[in-house]
Amino acid sequence: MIGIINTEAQNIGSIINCLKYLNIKFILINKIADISKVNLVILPGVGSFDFVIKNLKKKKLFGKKFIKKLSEKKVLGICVGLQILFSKSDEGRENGLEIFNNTKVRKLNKIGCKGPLPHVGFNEVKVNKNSNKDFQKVINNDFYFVHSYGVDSKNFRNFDDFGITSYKGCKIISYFKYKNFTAVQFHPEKSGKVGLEFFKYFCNEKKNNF
Amino acid sequence: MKKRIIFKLYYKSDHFYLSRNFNLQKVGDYNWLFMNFNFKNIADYIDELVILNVENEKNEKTLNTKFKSNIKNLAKKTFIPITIGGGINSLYKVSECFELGAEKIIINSGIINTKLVNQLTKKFGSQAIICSIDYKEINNLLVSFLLNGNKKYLPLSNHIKLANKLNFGEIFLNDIDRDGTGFGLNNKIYKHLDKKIPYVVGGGAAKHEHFIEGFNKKNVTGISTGNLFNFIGDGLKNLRKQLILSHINIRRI
Repeated sequence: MIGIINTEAQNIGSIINCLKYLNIKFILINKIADISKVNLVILPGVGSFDFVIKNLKKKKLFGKKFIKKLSEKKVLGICVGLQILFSKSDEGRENGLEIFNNTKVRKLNKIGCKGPLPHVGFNEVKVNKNSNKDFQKVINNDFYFVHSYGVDSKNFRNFDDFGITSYKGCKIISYFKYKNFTAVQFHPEKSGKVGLEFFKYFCNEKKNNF
Repeated sequence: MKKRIIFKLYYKSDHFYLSRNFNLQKVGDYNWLFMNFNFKNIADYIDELVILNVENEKNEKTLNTKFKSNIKNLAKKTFIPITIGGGINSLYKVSECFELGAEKIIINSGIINTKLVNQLTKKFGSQAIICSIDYKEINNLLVSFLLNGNKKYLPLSNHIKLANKLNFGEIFLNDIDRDGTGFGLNNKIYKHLDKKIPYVVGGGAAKHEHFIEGFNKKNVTGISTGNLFNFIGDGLKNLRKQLILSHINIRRI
């Protein structure tokens, strides 16, 4: 079973539409106990870093107990759902889930972006060549982005499984896999066919695609 | 960023329409769209869908419930960014559009309400608020029109300046006389696209040559078309193929 963490973010509806269309069963997660019922947790997010963290805190989906529960599952972060896995963001005051310590989510113009913000539209994801070959097929595509904050690719120099997207002078992490966490900065739920393929691949419970 | 092919559909009283010279031609309701029009196939090969609500209810401050249920149904099967426009006159209506899953909203005649435009760009961000401008060529000059092409407004360059000043995230330009004709885009438009803001041009694009020419112009980030009949069957798929062969940077599907 798949669980979508109910961050109250606006893209939850679109993600639900995708899963329903693909006949993938899911539940909404509103409290810690719900996590026990699922194998894969989707962590969606649009809007601001603090908005998502505050909503998680309201539902007590925050802190050591929550992280421990998550670490037993496969987790898929989408957009702000990727960003909150880090420790801090230029966008807000709240602390993230700190799966990565000492890494801050930056406003794109502070990491070299010379273009208008947000970065919005379809753009390319280029997966590091050391990444898993099957992932490369699913992720080396053009996906839809809407964001002003992101993680500088420099932070991932020592990793294998990640993808980079370039936008007007900055290179952001648009995909990574680390331990049981997979996260993407783009919106597969708005990316047409390749987005549906993305969900088909990562939500396949028969094959362990994580 | 990838260049975009944008599809325009009109909505009125539970039905979708296409436009030709700003006259609407009925296509069918939501079910008809998917059953007989193979809209799924169309949605697979476009990059953005624009729905313009042309119901005669400009004074209503909330969205019509039937319109909402049509958009909801459409969003269940269409997984690309959706833009909603038509009769946008309140902050509340715009919030409703975003709740329905829209990525952006379009303001056309609403540009005269500069206070609302300012509120919208502040609250939702410029990228989500698009200015649509309809224009006609009169004695070799381009002139903009409001109220669905019925009210002469400004010389086009002044209208574009105003849209830039109001901080819109994107400008859609529609040639009224070429709308739905398939005669090709108006090449007098390009010299007006001078600011660093994304422009979408439309009106007359039907053949792949029209798209290639348009996409090769500076600042054109998208081309809109509402002429589905030119793209029945594999038309859109073939268009994308031709664009890639001509080195236009569109998304790979």
